[in-house]
Amino acid sequence: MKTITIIVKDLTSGTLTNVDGLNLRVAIDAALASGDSVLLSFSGIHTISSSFLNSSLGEIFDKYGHDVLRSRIKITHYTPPLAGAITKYVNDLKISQVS
Amino acid sequence: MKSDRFSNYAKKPLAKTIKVADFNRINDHIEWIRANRVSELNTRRFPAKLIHIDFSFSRFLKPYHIAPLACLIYEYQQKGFKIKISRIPDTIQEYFKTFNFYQFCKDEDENNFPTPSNPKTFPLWRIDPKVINLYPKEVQDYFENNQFRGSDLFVLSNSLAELMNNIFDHSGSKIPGFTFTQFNSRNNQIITCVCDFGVGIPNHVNKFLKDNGQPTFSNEIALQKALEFKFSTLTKPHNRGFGWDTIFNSVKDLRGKILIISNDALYQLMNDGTSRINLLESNFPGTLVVIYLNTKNLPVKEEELTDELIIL
Repeated sequence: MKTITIIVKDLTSGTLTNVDGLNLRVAIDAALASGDSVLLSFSGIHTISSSFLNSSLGEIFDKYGHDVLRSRIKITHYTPPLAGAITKYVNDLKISQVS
Repeated sequence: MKSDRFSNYAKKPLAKTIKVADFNRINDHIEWIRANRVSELNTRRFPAKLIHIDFSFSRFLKPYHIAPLACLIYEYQQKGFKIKISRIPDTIQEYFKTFNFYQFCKDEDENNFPTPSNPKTFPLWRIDPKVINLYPKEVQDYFENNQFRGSDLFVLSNSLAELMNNIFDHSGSKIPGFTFTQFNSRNNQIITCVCDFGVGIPNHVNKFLKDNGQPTFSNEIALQKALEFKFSTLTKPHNRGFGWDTIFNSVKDLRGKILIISNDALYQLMNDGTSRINLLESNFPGTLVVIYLNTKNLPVKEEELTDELIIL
């Protein structure tokens, strides 16, 4: 199993809309389906929205479950608030699945 | 008889005048907006497609006056009206120059990114889906590079992104919304507001409930319901009801305030974390959200971290 690095800003023109999130979902899905792990680089990205996350990580969570999110997806080149938003979002997904 | 008829015709005013006031009471402001919308205009009495916006009663216009005024004016522009600004006090005139108000009133087709001319005020901005990625980043960069060097304004761009997406996804507005952001150095507050003339949150929630065979709520309960974690009207298939929760958590962390006026419901998050919800006497024709960020509590801007972080 190898690790595929996805540079988010090279994939999408922004990180605020559902449509942009879909581009990221496709790239993550392809890597996971091949059995690889994913390293998401948020270099140069300073803001993000729940809409973007809904159609990217949210969709991946629905398809693969939280174990895959925990064991095969990491992020790098992130600002602390951005990482805070992503980890909160993913934890909210887990909470909402349990409740 | 004939001459009387012509003399009556001659007396008809050539344009309608809208007198802008800086209302302090929410109900008065809403009543003023409702009374002055294009849909209320008597075109037999005011046949000319010209609106005079008279500012002689204005003294201290705030962002939450400006954004709804922009929506109101834009509605007229979309119906082919020309806007003429008149009787502006000097202080207001200077204020308008700082945030693109005159450019906006010229009804330019393009949502040209206006050059800010005042470090405390970010220009008025029409919320256009084509440029959603631009505004939140620009406003964050602008304040981080001017008034708040060394501070992180992720909360501002993130909240604006959520509110703008809400307009696209849920408002059903016939015209775009408007957003306006300003720093008030006396109160150490960044005030940002987003306004649309859509269906309003309570109406939207109740329509969703009704369409799904569920009981509807009073407007204040419907607004509260919309703000709950995980509540979504599923207007877009990916929606999960996390957006408002994201805003509330970020603003609470900074001990900021939020005001949401939608239809006749008013929600307030106070800076001590408490909240209240009330019914208003008047019905706002859409949604107005005002966020107050306490700039003394802004986090320090940090560099990107290059380690590998597990997200769950």
